[in-house]
Amino acid sequence: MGIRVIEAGFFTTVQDGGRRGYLKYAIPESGAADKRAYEICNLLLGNNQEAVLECTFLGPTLEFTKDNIIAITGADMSPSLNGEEISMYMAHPVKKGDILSLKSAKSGVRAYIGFCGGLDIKKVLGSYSTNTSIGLGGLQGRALKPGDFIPFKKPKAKLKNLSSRRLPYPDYFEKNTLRVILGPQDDRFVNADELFNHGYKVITFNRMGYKLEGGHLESKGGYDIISDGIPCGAVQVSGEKNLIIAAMDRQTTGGYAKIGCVISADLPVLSHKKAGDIIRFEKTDIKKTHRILLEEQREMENIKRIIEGKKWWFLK
Amino acid sequence: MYPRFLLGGDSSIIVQFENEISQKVHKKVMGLTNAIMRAKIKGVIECVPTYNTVFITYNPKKTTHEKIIEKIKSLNFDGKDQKKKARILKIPVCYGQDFGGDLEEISKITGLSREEIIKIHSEKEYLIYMIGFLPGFAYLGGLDERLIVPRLENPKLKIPAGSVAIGGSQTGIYPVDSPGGWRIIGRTPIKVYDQERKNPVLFSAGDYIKFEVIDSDMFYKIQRGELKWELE
Repeated sequence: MGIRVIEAGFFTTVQDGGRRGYLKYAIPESGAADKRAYEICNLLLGNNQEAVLECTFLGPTLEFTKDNIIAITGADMSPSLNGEEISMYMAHPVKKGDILSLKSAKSGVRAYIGFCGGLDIKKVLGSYSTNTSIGLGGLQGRALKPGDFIPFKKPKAKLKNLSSRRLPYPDYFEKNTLRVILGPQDDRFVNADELFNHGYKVITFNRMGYKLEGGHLESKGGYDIISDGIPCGAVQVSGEKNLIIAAMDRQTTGGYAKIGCVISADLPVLSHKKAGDIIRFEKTDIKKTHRILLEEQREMENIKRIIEGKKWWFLK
Repeated sequence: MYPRFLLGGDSSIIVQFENEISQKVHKKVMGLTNAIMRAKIKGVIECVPTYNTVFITYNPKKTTHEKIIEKIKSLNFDGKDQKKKARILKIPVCYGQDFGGDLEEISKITGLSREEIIKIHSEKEYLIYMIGFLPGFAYLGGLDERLIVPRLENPKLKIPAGSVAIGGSQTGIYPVDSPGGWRIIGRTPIKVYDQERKNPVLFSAGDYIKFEVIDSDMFYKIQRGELKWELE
């Protein structure tokens, strides 16, 4: 017993924290594009790294065939339960027969629907995540379609501290600045800092990457390198005005010079950019990034404490 | 000075050797890859050998790039300590017929007969420099110069999984159905990539591939599982 897909939405896939250990076989991590929203979704439900549904632009309509508790995070898709609007970033009990319906995103691109106890799907190569470009994982390696049925794994009708399982709606969906550490191939450009002087327009995007246009980056002797590994968030320069930012389902290796890499704390911001948006890059370095990561970690621990109903003086 | 230690954002390090594609550099890459895997460095998630780099991913919440680089510099990675002999994997290929539609065209371009092309292509042992592009796609070195042919001007929309092809100075096996601009000369009935296997890809960088000529009868027998093919 679980969820029946009535309408699939624009592009809805099963995702989790990602696939580890297969880059050497050219299998990318995949996983939720907005890891922050993904993690908070599971935290709200007391879950550990369970599979969620990643919605893109327009969310699905689902029918529950068993009682459970759900939460929706990420871009606000105006969710409603049996026609009545419900809050994002909050745990909601649902009953057998209830209909959850998501609309299009007010701002941002991706929303996450999580289920207490997770979804009962087979892990493929250690992960629930779907990579539709190679037909791997999730629901037969594809996006959801009407008529699909996904069973719950360990549904719960009750959850401790249900009233404290809510968070304020975050504000990063409209941000358009991404912090970048230069390298590994910034020395291939006459002036790599030019990256920070221009806005770049998103031309197209999918879960593999973002094509951007703008600026002017002059190379020293061409944009091609001997193919090497591509990190998630790598800013590849394919021409003097053309960038490709690598995302979760990217090819693991490639031959464009990588002028810099978006820091992992800003990948959630990237995940909410769409065609037409203007992105600006801001220079940072690895030392500052470590501090940002520590702050982020502390913030997540605080969120966990709030959700679990612990008082603030336990924080420090 | 090589190797150079480069940052790929906050979660990966690239150790770069001399800027060339050669067996000499490949040995250094594999030597370092194996040494890092053996050292089990805290926080390191993966280690991917490419033509002239080792791409290392790590968890920045568990370690720092400085600690990893320091540890790598202390490793012995001249590659001489590799006791393991390189594996040579035999990949059965049915050349031409229904499986290698571009063989005739290659024959016209090169002036070689079908038989000569098949003989030259299946004689060599090809070194796997790296795996990239598609799951299980091996970048092979060592294609005979006589078989170098230009890539297709209009790439095919679908090249079936298992197709063995030549593009420019490269040869390889398409592990999954994919669009592609290489010329197809045959097909292997074995799955070089299978997501249901614990090791989803049959080979790794550093192995060698040797193509073995089979006929269509044998192709279908292997494909149907009636005949077991020994890779080594």
